[in-house]
Amino acid sequence: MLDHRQRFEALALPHMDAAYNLARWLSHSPTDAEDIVQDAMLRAFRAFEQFRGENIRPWLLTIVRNCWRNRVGDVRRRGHVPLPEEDERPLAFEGPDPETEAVRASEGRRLETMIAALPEDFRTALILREMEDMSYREIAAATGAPIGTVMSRLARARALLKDQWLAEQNHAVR
Amino acid sequence: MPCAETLTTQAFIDGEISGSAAEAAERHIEGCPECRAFCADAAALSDAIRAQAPRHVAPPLLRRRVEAMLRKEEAARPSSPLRSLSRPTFWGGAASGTVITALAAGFAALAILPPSASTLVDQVTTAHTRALIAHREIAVVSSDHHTVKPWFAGRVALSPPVADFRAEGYPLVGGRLDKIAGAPAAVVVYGHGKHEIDLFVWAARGGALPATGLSHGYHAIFWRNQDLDFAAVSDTAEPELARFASLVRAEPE
Repeated sequence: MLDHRQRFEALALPHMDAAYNLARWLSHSPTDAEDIVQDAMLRAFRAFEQFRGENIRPWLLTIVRNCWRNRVGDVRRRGHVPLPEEDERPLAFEGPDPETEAVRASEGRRLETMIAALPEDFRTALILREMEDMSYREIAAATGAPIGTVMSRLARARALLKDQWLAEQNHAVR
Repeated sequence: MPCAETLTTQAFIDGEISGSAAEAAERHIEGCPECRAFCADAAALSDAIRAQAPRHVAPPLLRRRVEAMLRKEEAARPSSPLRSLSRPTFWGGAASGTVITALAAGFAALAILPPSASTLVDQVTTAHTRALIAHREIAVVSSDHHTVKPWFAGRVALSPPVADFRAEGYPLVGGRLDKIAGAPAAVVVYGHGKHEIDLFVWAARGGALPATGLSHGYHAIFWRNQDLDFAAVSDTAEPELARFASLVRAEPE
């Protein structure tokens, strides 16, 4: 018979990569992501008795997202002036000059930058769909949004990325 | 002007709809240039994300830190013997963590040859062994036909039949793209014991098909159904492959 902690571990720990990946894409920082996951796992464990349901992953990812939000809020409240979050960058990319273009990282790095620059709601929906292969229902549960909203966020995220991608490729051709 | 059905098309390629609704969505996509473009763009983007954008993996040290933290937290709590008896239904969630690490299909085109009966055997067996050697470039890994079938939309201009024959001993493994006789082919991948079976599906172009073939120890069985040509290829015993072929052929479209 598994005890309380073992049961939690058996259910939650297989989703550690999903939690860490989301935390990385939210925070853009490996160290912050580790702290967020650790914080989220502790909160999830403390709240485990309130967990009702069959599928723990959306529930866990909701906690990850909340932990990230709290952290961003804490930093702001403490009066730090953080560097602009990638979230707040304008969506349009400035055209790079030829020199920076030359040293610019590979295709993958650019796609990564584009995804990182998406508004958080769109980015989270896209990450959970494309990297975690989650269903609309699971994404809705993880983000506290109706399924219709998840669908339009996904469509919007895909459209934004497509437009930017094309714009970049056109720029490179010119 | 985006099509009003875009979200339905998206739901189809995301594997969210099934049955007659999926068939209706597929019919709509065939006739709607906007939705076809949407499928192609979404497919290209999805492939690029899976190939290029990292899915970050939790560092081993973080795992150990979390486990140590949970032990400490447990020790700090008053124990309750009742807890371990509560809610056994939690187990249901444990199976949900399927993680798909799909790779983008990197397929090299074969030389464009007329699809004569004799070259077809070599072509499908070569394509099959090349995929085996390259650690099976299965681009979409899933045993769920609601995931595999829509994956082909936007990637290849045909809709292969996809079913899971797990109960019959031929579980669905995934799908990828390849080329047969210079034309794009959908490849639906199945398992059978320790063997793998590739089901190649491509648009029929009228040439004759061999019924069966053997090349380098691989069996191939061919058939045509309306406007699609099929080849099942594997190193499994021929009767086993024939049984698989008859399962696929008996599957209603």
